Amino acid sequence: MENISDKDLFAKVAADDEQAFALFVERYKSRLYNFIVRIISEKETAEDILQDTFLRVYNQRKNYSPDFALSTWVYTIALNLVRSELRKRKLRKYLSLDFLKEESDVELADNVNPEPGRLKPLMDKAIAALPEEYRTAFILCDIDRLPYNEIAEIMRVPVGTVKSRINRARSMLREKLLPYKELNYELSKGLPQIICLH
Amino acid sequence: MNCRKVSRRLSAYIEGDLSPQESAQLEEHVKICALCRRKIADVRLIIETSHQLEQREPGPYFVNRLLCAINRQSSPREILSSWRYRLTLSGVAFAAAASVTFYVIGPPAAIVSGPEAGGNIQAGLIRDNDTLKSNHGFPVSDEALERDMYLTQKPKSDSLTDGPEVTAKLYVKPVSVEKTDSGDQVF
Repeated sequence: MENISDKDLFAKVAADDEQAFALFVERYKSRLYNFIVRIISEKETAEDILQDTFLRVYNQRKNYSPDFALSTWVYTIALNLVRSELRKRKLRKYLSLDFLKEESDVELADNVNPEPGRLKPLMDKAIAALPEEYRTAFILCDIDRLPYNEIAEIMRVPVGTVKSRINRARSMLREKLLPYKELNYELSKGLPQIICLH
Repeated sequence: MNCRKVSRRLSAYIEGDLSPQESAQLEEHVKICALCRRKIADVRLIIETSHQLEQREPGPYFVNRLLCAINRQSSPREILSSWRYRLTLSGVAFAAAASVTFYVIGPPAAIVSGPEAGGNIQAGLIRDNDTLKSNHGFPVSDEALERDMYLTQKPKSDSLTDGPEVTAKLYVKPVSVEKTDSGDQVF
């Protein structure tokens, strides 16, 4: 049963096969959690959203149309819940006047001289500081490694928009990580040291 | 090709999405532009690093928690989240708000019926010398009183014994009225 395709697996889930649902959860929980937690940046809330995602999938299991890829459908549900949470946060932030504080770029700038091994945590922070639509596109493409057309379906935007958002997100990340350019840039070796990118 | 165009086509170039012609133009520019060369290298590194980012896992009890949540689907929380419940709740809240508003402000044209017969006037008006005062303490002119009485007076019959049915506005406090030969006296 472990090698069963998504389509066949979900057909069993729709037929109230509990074992199939357990396998489905096992198959998707890490991928979805990674996606959610990187956008939300808060473990507890990410787990709650992950649980709500699976609950919705379970409740809607009879309504799933096999015309769409299962992953697209599941990611779309997760993204809707994530956006709903972000809207609530935005409102709470507005009501509590927290929006007057500086954005998360400050945290990134706190690490003045990080060691080379710390590029990955910096990447996490830099990703978290991206605007939501760029962050989502980047995570789906470069971390979850979904194809462009699937990302376009999940985000409900044209493929061209997805491509441009991903390109923009990568450029923004580069700008955010520029202060640490000396970290691990083997690919940039051989360039004249005089060049200043700041 | 210039630096701006290179920036726009960075990802497409790295992923091999550019046409051979565009790709050649971009490479031609990169040969002479160290800044764009650096940009391409940086973006390549960002993509590679993002591929290597560690996978995060939900807590060890997540699956158990999920299965429990599925088992108590009909719990109050689930019912609370259903749209039918929310709609009903909204209706009840609206009705309650309307009732409170009605009670506090009063109906738009609140008219209270007067006594059945006898021409008793249900008006909380106190005569202080020649000045009439409402029970709020504000002076009321005779003209205003007459107009008010006229507007709220509905003749019931022509009979003198029956008298007209008189109504007064809700804010007025009822007081006793005595009928004398000279006419109604209001106290």
